[in-house]
Amino acid sequence: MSVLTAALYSGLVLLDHFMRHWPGFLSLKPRPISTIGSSSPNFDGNFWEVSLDHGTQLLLPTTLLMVVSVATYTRYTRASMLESINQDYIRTARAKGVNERTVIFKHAFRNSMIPVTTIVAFDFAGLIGGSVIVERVFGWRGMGELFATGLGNSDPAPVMAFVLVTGAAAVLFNLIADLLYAVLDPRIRV
Amino acid sequence: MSMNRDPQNDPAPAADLAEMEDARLAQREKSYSQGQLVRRRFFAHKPAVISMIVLLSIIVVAFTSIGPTGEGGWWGKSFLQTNPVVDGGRPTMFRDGFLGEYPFGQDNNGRDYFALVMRGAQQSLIVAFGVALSSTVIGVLVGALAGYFRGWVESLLMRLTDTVIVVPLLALAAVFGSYAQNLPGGTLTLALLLGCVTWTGMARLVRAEVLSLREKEYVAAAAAMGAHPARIIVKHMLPNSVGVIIVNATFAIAAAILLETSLSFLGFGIQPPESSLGLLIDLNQNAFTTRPWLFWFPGLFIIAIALSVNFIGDGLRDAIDPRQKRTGDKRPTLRGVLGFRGSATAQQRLAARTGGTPDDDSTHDETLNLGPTPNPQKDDDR
Repeated sequence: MSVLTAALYSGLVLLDHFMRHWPGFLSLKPRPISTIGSSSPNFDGNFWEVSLDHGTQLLLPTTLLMVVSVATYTRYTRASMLESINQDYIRTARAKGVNERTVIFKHAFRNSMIPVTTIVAFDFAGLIGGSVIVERVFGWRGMGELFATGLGNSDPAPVMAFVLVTGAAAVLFNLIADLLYAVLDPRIRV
Repeated sequence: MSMNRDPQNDPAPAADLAEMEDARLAQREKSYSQGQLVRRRFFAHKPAVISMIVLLSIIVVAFTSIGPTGEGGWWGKSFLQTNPVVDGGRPTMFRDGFLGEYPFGQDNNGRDYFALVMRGAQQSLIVAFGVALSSTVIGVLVGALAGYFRGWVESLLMRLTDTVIVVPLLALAAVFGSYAQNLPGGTLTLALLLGCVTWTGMARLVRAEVLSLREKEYVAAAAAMGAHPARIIVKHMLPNSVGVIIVNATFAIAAAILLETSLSFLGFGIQPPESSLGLLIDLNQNAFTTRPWLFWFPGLFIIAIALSVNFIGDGLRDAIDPRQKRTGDKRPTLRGVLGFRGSATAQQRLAARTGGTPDDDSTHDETLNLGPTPNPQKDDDR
């Protein structure tokens, strides 16, 4: 409990500092959200202002990548939620008089997360693939740009490194998904 | 025999009951073959039919307007020929008559943008259908072999599939796409190579289908009569899994359009001076604020093709899968597909509350006349 309190409060303190430096940041960068690069060129400020700059630059690409996935996850979650809400144990829980919020979140939602976990794990590799385009659009210099320029220059080393790293990440995320199954459904032993 | 006797006091002999059922069935409706049933269900799916009309007209217009080779269609302008730029390349549609000289405007070099977009649509469609064809062939082959033979064949093929899945699709496709640039054959080569990347989903689906089919009695009977495995797979298993295959091939077309678009956008797909929808967007992405039509028209065609192919796939899935019989109330309507199913249900509830019976709605169109659904939660469209 004390750890939770500490995390919560340090978060609040951080937020407070960021909010305090927001006017100074605005005076340095009058239009806070720009579309090119991971940081504004020639931006000079203290630690908080530079962090705010990075955060605002991150906003648009993150939103874009998120929007791409949201539709898929929504449909998968809906389908598996519909499946689990018609199960017998939901009716049993309701018959026992468990309140509706517990029924939805503890009984139905938790069980419907299992197929969604699989999709999220598989989607991770696809998200890295999708970030190739997002990096090109927003002018970031990340993994995707490394891959694209390497392939454009017929330079095999960056391309192989990209494939190796994203492949390893995909395998890792599938492993995490397998571990999460056991957390979500204690009947599954790892 | 009289139809209105009391069933409790005078139970009919079983044979008579069966005859009665048969007579009723024969009287009520004529019977249909499987193909007829699928066709009827597909044509009852309004969004799919509309999408099919849209897609067919796009195909016809794209291939006849400037000709399949880019020369000599009814449009009369080539996508390579440069003309003097008129009025900053603004589209003349609806301003200068209905279409005008350049309905979609002109690009930097004064090339007719309508011809460019049509050429792009041609190339994208060729890639899409080529990818769907080759990925379906590879996927069905791998899946059927793995599912039928089990053992080390299955381990080998499925590990191969996993290896392809684990690498991001776009990365693998970009490598194959940049490799295809040095090969002869142009767009079709690119399509066939891209098919070597996107077959994994089909392979897994067909394997699952074949795994369940190989336990069926007719497969055991064919094997007992000494049929060759190739014959069992081709004659017994694939016809029974054709629904899954067709539906996924349709969705593969939509995915391939988007894949080709992203590849050309990154510069690893189709190369200039050839045109493709993704390439047009890539070349003109900086013109978005100043000359947005260079961006809108190819984008519009990408969306139109991908959406209509997806709707056709939805319609085919509903038509072919007999397990989800969606007739009458359950049939997907235009509104339902567009995401307004809730509003129709709400109106229906409102009608029920104000005392109207479902029959009162019979003057409205079909989307309104949903009628009471016995279990609305089963009505998911996945």
